[in-house]
Amino acid sequence: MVHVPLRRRFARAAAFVQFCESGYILSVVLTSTWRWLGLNILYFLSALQTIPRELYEAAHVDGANAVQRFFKITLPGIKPILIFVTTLLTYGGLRMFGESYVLWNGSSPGDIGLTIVLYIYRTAFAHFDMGYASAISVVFFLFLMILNVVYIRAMGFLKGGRGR
Amino acid sequence: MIGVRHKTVFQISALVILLLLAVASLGPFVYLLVVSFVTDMSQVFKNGIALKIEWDMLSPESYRMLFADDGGKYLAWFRNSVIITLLYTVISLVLCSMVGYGISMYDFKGKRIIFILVMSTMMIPVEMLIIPLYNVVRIFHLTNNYFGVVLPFVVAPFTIFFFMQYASTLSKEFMEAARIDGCGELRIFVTVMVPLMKPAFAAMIILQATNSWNDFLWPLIVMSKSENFTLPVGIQTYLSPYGNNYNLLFAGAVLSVVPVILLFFFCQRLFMEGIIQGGIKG
Repeated sequence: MVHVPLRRRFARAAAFVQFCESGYILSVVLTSTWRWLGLNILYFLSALQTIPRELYEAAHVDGANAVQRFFKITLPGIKPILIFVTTLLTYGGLRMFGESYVLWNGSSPGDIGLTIVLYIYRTAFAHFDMGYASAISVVFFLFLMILNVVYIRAMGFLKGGRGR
Repeated sequence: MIGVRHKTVFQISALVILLLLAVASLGPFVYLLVVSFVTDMSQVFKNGIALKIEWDMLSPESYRMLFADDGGKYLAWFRNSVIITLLYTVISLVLCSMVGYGISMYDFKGKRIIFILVMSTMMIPVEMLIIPLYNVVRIFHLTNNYFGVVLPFVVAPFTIFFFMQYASTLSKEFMEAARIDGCGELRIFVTVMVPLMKPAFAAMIILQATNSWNDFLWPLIVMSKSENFTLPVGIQTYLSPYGNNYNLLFAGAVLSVVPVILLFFFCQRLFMEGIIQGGIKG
């Protein structure tokens, strides 16, 4: 049962392409963007509040315009939170389950709404193929680990100490 | 003079953008609330989604139906959600605050290894663990049990991390003073440190309680009998391939939001303090 014919794999890839094209992906993206909007605004708000006002005044005195102030003060100031939120959202998107499950009741026509976690769930708890589902989980985990390394590097944790 | 005008233009455009965002955030909630009072759903879904709702279409009929449906099943879901959220939040806060406090305040052998172990579990997505966890829960006969939902995730690495960060901002002199007065270590924690960590507790109460309240995947797997469902899992069953019961869906969704809003009202100020202090200065 572990072996899946190549033809079916291609069918899934084709279904994914169709999924992107048909605008279903947009509906999921819009709902989840709306859902997490408030929390993300809260994160950015608290990050912006930690930037001291004197920096802006000093830059103003030195003759920096609004665009320069944004790129030289605001952006570096919120960089940790920016990366944190990006990480959170990437994970949120990759592990999306509820939205797809509720929108299509677990099985969408032609699997257009299938996410990885929904696939794991379906393989394990609807088809009771625990082994194959575990294999998907492990591959998914490796993929996330690669992303993790990228984000940790971006945070600057690997450059020694607690540098930001 | 030009500078002043420039500023007002800037302020007005900022206000407009913020208003649009506020409408975008609140609009669906308002729509949910209004539609939950419409009894005849065929009016709402006439042409896609109707935006024209008249006063005489509104009645609290959906709510009456919700409580009467299938012997008050909705109330059972509500009770399950409340019990699971309470259990989860209380156990999680007690355990995580102790672990976080312990790692940050005491020096002991293997501290670094414990810290790394805790942090590395943060990188493992919960969804990956559902299969092994399900097997564990099944072996312990915890399926269809409140503890089956609560226990696997009760020690949350992020919460430990948060308490650790917060505890490290507290002065160790409090501990010294309490020790001289003859306090035991547990009493120092309970009577001195816990009151000092109150903002952290408030933030984590909100975070853990909303997480547990909204959790969908895990209760869906553990709870298989309809009377054991939590609210998100239960409400979702109103949508089925054989027809969607939008009356109950909307009314149930509105009522399920109420406890979260109440929680936010009570803990909001402490929560913002917690986010700013614990989350950012990390």
